[in-house]
Amino acid sequence: MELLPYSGRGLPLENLIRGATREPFSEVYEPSVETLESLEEQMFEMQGELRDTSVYDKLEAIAAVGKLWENSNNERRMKLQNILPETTGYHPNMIDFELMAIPEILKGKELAEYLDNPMCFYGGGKVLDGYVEVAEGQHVIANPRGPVFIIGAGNSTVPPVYSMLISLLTNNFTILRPSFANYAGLYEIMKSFEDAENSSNVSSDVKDILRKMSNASVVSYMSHDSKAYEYLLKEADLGAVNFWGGGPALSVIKRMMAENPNNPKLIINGPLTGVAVVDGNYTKDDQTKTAKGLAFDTILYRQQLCNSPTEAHFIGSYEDAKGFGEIFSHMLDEHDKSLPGELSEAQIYNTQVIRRSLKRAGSKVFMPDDGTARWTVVVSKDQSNIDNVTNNSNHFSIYQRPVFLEIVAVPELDGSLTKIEELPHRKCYQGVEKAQTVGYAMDERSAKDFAKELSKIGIYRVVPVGQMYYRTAYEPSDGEYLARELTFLSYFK
Amino acid sequence: MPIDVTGVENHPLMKDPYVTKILELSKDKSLYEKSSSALEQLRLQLFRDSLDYFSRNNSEYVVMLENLDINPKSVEFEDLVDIAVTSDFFRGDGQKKYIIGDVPLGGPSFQSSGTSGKDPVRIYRSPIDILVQRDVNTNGAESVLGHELNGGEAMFLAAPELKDFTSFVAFVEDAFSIRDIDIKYGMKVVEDPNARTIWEKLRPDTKTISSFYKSKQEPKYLMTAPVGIYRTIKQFEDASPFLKYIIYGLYLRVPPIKLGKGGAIFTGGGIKGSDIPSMEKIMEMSKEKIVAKDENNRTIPAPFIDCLSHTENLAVLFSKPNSLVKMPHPLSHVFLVDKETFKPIEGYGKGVVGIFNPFTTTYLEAFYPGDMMERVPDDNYYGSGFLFKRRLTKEEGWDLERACGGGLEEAYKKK
Repeated sequence: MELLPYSGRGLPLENLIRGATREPFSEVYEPSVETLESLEEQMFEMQGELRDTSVYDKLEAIAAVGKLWENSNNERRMKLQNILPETTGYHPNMIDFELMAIPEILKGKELAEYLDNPMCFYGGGKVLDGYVEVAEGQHVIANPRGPVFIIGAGNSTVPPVYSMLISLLTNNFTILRPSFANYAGLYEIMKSFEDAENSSNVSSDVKDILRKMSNASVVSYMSHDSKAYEYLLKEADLGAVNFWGGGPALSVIKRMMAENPNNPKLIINGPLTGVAVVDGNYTKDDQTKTAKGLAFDTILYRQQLCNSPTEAHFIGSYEDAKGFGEIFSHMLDEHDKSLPGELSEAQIYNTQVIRRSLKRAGSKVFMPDDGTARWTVVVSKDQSNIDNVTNNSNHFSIYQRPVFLEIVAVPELDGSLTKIEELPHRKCYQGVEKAQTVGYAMDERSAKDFAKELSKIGIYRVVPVGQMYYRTAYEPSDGEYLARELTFLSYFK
Repeated sequence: MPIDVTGVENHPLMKDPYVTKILELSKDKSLYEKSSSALEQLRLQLFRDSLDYFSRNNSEYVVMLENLDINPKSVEFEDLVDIAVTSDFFRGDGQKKYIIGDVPLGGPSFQSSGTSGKDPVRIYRSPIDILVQRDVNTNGAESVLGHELNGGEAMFLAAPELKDFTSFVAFVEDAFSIRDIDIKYGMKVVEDPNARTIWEKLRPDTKTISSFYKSKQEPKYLMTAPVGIYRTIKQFEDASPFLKYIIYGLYLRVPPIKLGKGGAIFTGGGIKGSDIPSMEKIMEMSKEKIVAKDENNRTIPAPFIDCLSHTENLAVLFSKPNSLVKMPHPLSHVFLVDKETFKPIEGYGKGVVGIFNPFTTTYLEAFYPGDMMERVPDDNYYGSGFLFKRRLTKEEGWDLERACGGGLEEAYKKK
């Protein structure tokens, strides 16, 4: 099986570069610099074609693609059910869950709500089609900032799909470099635009729009040392780069972009995480419900999402926290059975030795009855013990410990706030920018007050426990609306 | 030169009943005659005593035992699964918090090869530990050699600089030189601007090697990583016929390398490179090229004794001659846990190895070195033996230390 770049314009294979072989693909190809140079000449033309079509017509065309994905026997969907577990390491059930989200996104209802959300575009999505009056005699129009280069993260297929669609809907020629893990997902989704084009159930107008959108799309894997990658960042006439990630990779990208004479705008979605805060008093009558919700948030994508809880604070006594931890561990065990994952030998060893270190340090450790490293719940008093039991050589970072949650018993809510603020400075959170999401289980009034305090320390999302993964169309992503970031406004009076 | 332990006899700890007992037991050669069940009983008692000793000397252990709900008086070996720590925790200054208060000073510190690019494992050995290691490692070597270590000559295919931080080299030099064995080093450290580590700066010291080959002393002991034996044999095979005749035939009169009566090969560090044959193959290759004499003065293939040593392990695990089955010291408790569940493996089987050494008095030496081993039947004092299988898989963010044998292979690769 070959891993090929996708382009609606068609990238001639002879101009592709063969990269290193990576399982399960026999060959991995990426575009040559010459291919991208030839593409560059047409990028603005493609963008122009996109602008000629109303955003709502584009949404209707995308919905036609979504129809294909609603069918669980769709050939591409079935193909991904086989490939993605292997490339991502997620269980097939997790992939099924992910694939169910694809037709929902493509349906376009949420995308329309997102664009019409006045916090995103004053005047709604129609500002992308023409001037909209914002005050008497005063008008604005949103223009594509692109061409856009999106560098996606590997934790889920959904965010790069979303970014890709937002970029196309805002009339940008879009080059997407997904991670290797979810490359196949993006490739098959873009190929399904062609399927819809060839469908007898789709009108010729819609087919025409789909053609324009796929013409304006390139999806390609590029290794970090590839010439194409370097060319795009250093030289290509880009308007924006949307980078999902952080750490050394971000530094490299910044350095390369600094050389680009076209000054593309850099939009960073840095590595973020989640924290759950459970008020022991509030939840004491129904701890099972809260524990169940938290277990669901924890098990999804094995804590690899930017909103996944990787630490929890229990407001109450240590004894009560242990009681909650026990109930939570039962729930986690149940969820893990339906969404199991695979751990590497190093992850297993790491988990096993850290569990014992935490026990030695006084934490209560819950684990499956069979002793395996499938999941771990740790309850610590007053402060996290993970940093105390690791050293400079092994931080036991959140990326090394799937389905591992430490619950810290904190007497007061203020203590939780301080811990959330300090979180990025901790060894085991090295490389994480900050907490993105705080999931809460407390009364409404406390939650409102807490959310206000959390916003002051830069937390982007405060949502109920059990819904930490769930986003609505009205939510900004990491404090911004991507659609606005990928456009610039012109004013007319 | 033996490691200097002057003045240790005056340290108050020398009067501690546990230390006294350890010093006495470490000398006891009759341990090798006891039954495996008697030894296990003794080890259990020492385990309990050691927890009491460490609790008296470092409050860290009091807290740990409280947290684990363990009473030293009734602790069982199964509790070692929770008590033992991964060697990774001894990187940098990780050992510090486990060291007893008022530890005897002036001892050496050793470190792992550092080939993983991380902080190496660093272990301080007090002069008391040095006294203990002399006895446990000498007794261990003698038990597999079948004779006492007394006089003769030994050559490390290593540089003397390595003994400053490599415990295996330092321990052997210390233990052997106490027994009047003349120590030579067959490698030297050279300046090499392209070399990043000391391993890459190692070069054979041909003068020392040839003097060892030609020496009439006996017994002679050749000590190296397995790759050293392999390269030595290969150089005999790969030389041109003329060179073979002039250098090896007329001048050095090798092969075979003659180690004399009681002589033996000691290897350690295992095989890391894919271009090096298996241990079994190297042992086979050495049979004709390196010889010794038995007690009846008959020429025999030199006994090939492979050792397993870790920086954080005071006692070397020796194999019987020409075997790969490792035998722990009678007082070392070696246990295996299932790699998935970390539940103890009873009887024979393969798992993650843990080691507890009651005779180390500086810190509680109970650790997981990161090796997969297999317990196999063996008719020795321990009741079974252990086969090294492999290091646990390395992964980004979790990089287990490569043993020093790997470092030496790098040195050979540069030649």
